[in-house]
Amino acid sequence: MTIETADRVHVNNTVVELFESVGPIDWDDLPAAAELTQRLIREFAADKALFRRLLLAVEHDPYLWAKCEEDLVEDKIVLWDDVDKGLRIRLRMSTDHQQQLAHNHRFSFTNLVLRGTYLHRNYVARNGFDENTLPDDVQPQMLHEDRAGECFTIHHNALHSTPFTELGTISLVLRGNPVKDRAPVMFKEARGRDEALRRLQDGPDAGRGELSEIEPDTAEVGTMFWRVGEDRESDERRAERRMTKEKYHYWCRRLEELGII
Amino acid sequence: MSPTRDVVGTSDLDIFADTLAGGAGGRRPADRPDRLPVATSPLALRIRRAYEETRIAAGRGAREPLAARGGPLPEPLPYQGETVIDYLDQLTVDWSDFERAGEITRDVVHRLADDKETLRALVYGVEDKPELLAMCERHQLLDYIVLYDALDRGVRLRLHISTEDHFDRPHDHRFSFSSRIVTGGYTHTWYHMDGDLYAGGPDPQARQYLSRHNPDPRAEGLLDRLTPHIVRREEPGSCYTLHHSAIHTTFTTPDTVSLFLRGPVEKDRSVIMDKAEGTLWWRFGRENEPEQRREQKAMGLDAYRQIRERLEKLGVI
Repeated sequence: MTIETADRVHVNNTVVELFESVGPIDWDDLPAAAELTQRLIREFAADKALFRRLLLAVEHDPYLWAKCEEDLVEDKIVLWDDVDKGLRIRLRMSTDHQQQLAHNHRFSFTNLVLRGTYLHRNYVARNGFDENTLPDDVQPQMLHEDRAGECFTIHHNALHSTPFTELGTISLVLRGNPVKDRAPVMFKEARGRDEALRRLQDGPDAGRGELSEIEPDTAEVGTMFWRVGEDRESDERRAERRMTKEKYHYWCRRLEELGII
Repeated sequence: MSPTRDVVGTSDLDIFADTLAGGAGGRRPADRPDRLPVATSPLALRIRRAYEETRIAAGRGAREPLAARGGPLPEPLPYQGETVIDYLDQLTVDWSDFERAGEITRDVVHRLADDKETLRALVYGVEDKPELLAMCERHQLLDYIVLYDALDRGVRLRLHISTEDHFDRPHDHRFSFSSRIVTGGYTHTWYHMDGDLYAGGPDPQARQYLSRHNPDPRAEGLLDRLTPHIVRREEPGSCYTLHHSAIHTTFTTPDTVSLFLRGPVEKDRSVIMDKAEGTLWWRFGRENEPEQRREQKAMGLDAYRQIRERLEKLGVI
């Protein structure tokens, strides 16, 4: 009997010439990965027929469809995932106002801005970034205006924030495989300040203790939580974030209207 | 670690193949809702309510952006119809507020880069301003012309022109700055440095190691603590603000020109490294450098005129 992983089924059934010639991506060599993946993501975005073919196939591919999400402030549609090569492509679309959240990632990735513009902050946490880090320990070192057409490649340990508070900002992400189970996030701006204060007064906790693995709906400046992979999320949580067909169809149409596909 | 991979059986494969065959033909989905559907989960609704409470508590109007500082790029700052020069003449930038200083100075370099006439006037003006001409310098990787100087108000404006030499040299600066690419471009790498190069405070010995021909022997192994954290291509129109503590490289292509607005000095020296050689040396301000070094890098009138001519040919001014 043939044993095959779901990701191989997805890749083997969806031939993409652009990715055929690419070997496994060495994300540990960031400059080399940047050169390769920035070329790939630009070529992919420029090939609207390919972009369209993959986008419209997502709802028929159970492997990809399970990875599409409606998050609190943005939606994600996964277009391609070749685990053997460390090459996953997904769309990231802003749907609500976002706070400045300093965070690093479970994986390194390349990002191409397709639409909109935002201020990209790169931070340094002098004594490391963990549950003991205070908001003032995290200071911006680079403030970059990311505009449509601009591309960056980022190391999984780099601390940054890319708050898409301009609704309709859309990015294309080409990411590698995860190299850690979870990655910390810190609120540099409050989310629902009054409610957060009330909660603090109701049940003041000494220090942070164990950080939550769920993004909080209210947060003070300095609140931290872990961002985790789907395999660490409960079924209930996955169900809450699952993208609806209506939303997906909306995005297919919107991306076409915008001339992105 | 390896990513989670679900094992599927043969029957699953058939279903996959069928669904893919049906969907990969590029058929468009049938339903087309007209408006952006926002997230409707209980959690998303609670967050949206919390936002509203925050806004009302802060007394902000409904049309005002929620998180101005985390949000989209601000509208251009208000001007009363004056020129960029008039604006510069009354501008004071407080670089201790890095975010705000960045916002103001990125706006200035954007406006100037788009205003060729004013830029040309500033470049030509240097010929008649010996105090500015005296500050123009030539280096191995770039030449720069100082266009405007009011460092007591937190503003010194320079025009950077790449030379024929292009190297990947990680470095930091003695001051924070904003930069806007006018023409050309470069590969821009932002590094993470494990540890603090300046933790020991003032370092009189560093003054001995001022060139790649005479690197600091104490720096053995330091370059191994450098990890590239962001790599991007800066093109005409690209704009960013960099803190003096940031270590970066700008690996230029020929004829790259950028507008550079710097703030006051925040430390006595800055570092520069040669990755290929694994070496490191220091740069000090003009006032702290030996006379010979100052003479070596001074631009002078003839070179200034040549560079000005080159800027004209490039269509920058």
